[in-house]
Amino acid sequence: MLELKAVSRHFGGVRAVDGLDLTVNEGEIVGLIGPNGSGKSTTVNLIAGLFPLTAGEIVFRKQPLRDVPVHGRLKLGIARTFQSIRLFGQLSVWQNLWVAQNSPEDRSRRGFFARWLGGQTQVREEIAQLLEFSALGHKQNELAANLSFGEQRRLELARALAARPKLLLLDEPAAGMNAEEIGQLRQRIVDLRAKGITVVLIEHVMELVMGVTDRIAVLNFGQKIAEGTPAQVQSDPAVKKAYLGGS
Amino acid sequence: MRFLLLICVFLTTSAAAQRVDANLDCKYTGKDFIYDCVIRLSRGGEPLSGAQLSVGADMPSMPMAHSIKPVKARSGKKPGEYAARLDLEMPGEWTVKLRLAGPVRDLLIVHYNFTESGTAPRK
Amino acid sequence: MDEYAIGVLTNIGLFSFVALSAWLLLVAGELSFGQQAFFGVGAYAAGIGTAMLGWPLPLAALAAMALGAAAAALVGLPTLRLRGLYFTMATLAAAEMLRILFELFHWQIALGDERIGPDGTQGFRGIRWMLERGIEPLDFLAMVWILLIGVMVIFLRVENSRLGATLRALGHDPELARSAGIDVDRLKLGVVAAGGALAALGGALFAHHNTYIEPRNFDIMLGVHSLAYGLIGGLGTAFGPLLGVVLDIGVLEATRSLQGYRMIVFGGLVAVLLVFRPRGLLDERVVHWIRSRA
Repeated sequence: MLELKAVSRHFGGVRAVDGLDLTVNEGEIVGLIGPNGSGKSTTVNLIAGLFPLTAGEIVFRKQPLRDVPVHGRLKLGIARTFQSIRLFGQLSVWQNLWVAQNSPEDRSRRGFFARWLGGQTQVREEIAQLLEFSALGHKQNELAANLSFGEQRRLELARALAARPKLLLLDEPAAGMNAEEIGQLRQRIVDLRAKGITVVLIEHVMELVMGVTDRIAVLNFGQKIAEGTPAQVQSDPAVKKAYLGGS
Repeated sequence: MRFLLLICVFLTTSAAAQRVDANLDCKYTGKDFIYDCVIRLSRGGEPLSGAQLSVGADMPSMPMAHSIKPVKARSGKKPGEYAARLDLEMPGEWTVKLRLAGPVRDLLIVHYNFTESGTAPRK
Repeated sequence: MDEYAIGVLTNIGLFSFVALSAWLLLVAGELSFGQQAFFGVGAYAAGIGTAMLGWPLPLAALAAMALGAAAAALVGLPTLRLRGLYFTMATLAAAEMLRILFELFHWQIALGDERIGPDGTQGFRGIRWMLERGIEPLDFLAMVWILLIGVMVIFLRVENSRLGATLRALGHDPELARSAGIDVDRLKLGVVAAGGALAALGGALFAHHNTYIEPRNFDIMLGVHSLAYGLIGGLGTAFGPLLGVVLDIGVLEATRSLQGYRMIVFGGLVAVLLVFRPRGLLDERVVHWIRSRA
């Protein structure tokens, strides 16, 4: 479904991502791990189109993404969350989901004027489902900026889902969460797969990555140093070196 | 009904009429920044008396925000002459607006430099 | 109503158009110091329409709006790629360029025994459409406010729509908006064009209220004030810029209580608000609070 072919991104002399090959198949949950600064978030930003590639190619469902702008990639079905939470703080929880309904399905289902100027009633049902999935129903009229940390994380996920993604890029969704919240997040990710959504998960919380992913790629200094099932990766000597004693 | 009439008026095109000419001569009173002005109105070279005249003024920059309260002019000594006292925010260039009501309705715009020695038309 | 009260209320109405246009851009996250230029484009275009070409005012005003939108889009096309302060500086530069073009603009035609039309720095006099039809200042005031109420109805409708929420979203975080699938560039261009049309409508009315316009009417002071009204009144609702206009023109100017110190008070007010209420008196939180009570 998603293919990264020899992808590089250099910032000045820094090779944030350096010749990365990665394949994500339909319906998979793929983990992307590595020490801080290993190029994980840069990889997500490259897939999402936030900055251009220095070299290489990214292909999504047979379509090269090089010339597809950021908003166009969402329309192809790639949605994401951010490492540091980003929400439309001055909008309500409900509105945050409303403005994110930009999928081709939503575009074709309603006319231009109905979509932009129509009232809230037509989409109430769909947004209620998203709110229920992320346990935010009781906060729907609250300003996003007023939510607690855990609620903001849930809203970010719900916002990404409002775009009906086929591929979801989650950039450290468990950062700052307690054990209970991580358990709930894990259940949500499993539920997403059941809905047919492919997930790329960047995470430092090992119990989450090891517990939920089918396959893990390990990055260090922008290069892939290992790839395999959670068990394979855990026993890989190169991975141990990068995490424990590594230069 | 009045509104419908107005809309009809809005959709018509224009016709020309004979214009009123105006000039202004003001003396600084010495008090900040009050001027005694004599306004002369004429139409087709003839002095125009008996008009109901009110005099206002705007500054060229931001005329919507810097304007003075219009004052009613009194009839002056000679035919076609009117007198008014203007209280300006500051000296300098002003766009003086003369609004005529009564038998002749018009809005005349003249430009003057107001200084401590009096007024001079803007070049 | 006396002549002065009519004048002040008319000025509040006229100023509101250009203040709303600057506010619209503010909501979408762009600080424009250039809306006065499109006000000027509208004033000249509508003046030429009625006084020189003999068009009725509604037609001239529509043409002015189209021209204002086109001019704004033309300025926006290259400048919207610039971020933040650079866009602001570009709008200021573009507005000054347009003002200088007005100074160089000479096109007069003979009508009767008079020559009518823009005459550079000497201005454009004789936009007498209202006088020729005997439309009284009070009627004109009513027209201005009916149009303004119409614009406000549209603004408040949009505010409650997905379009309104989307505009706020891209004003808040354009990069996030892009990631959420919003075509930020196209939407901003649309906002800039709509702002241009709105300012031009205000300019068209201003030209006919005043019967005379000159390039200096459209200098940076008008732009700064238009922007300040939104920042004072608040970004949370379209009533914000109107509140700003009413506070400045309606209270400070009309009561003349502060006389020559008004500009100092005004500047101080803006500075204090930017520190304590950076998104104005009626900001998003206040508006949200009021709505949740209602």
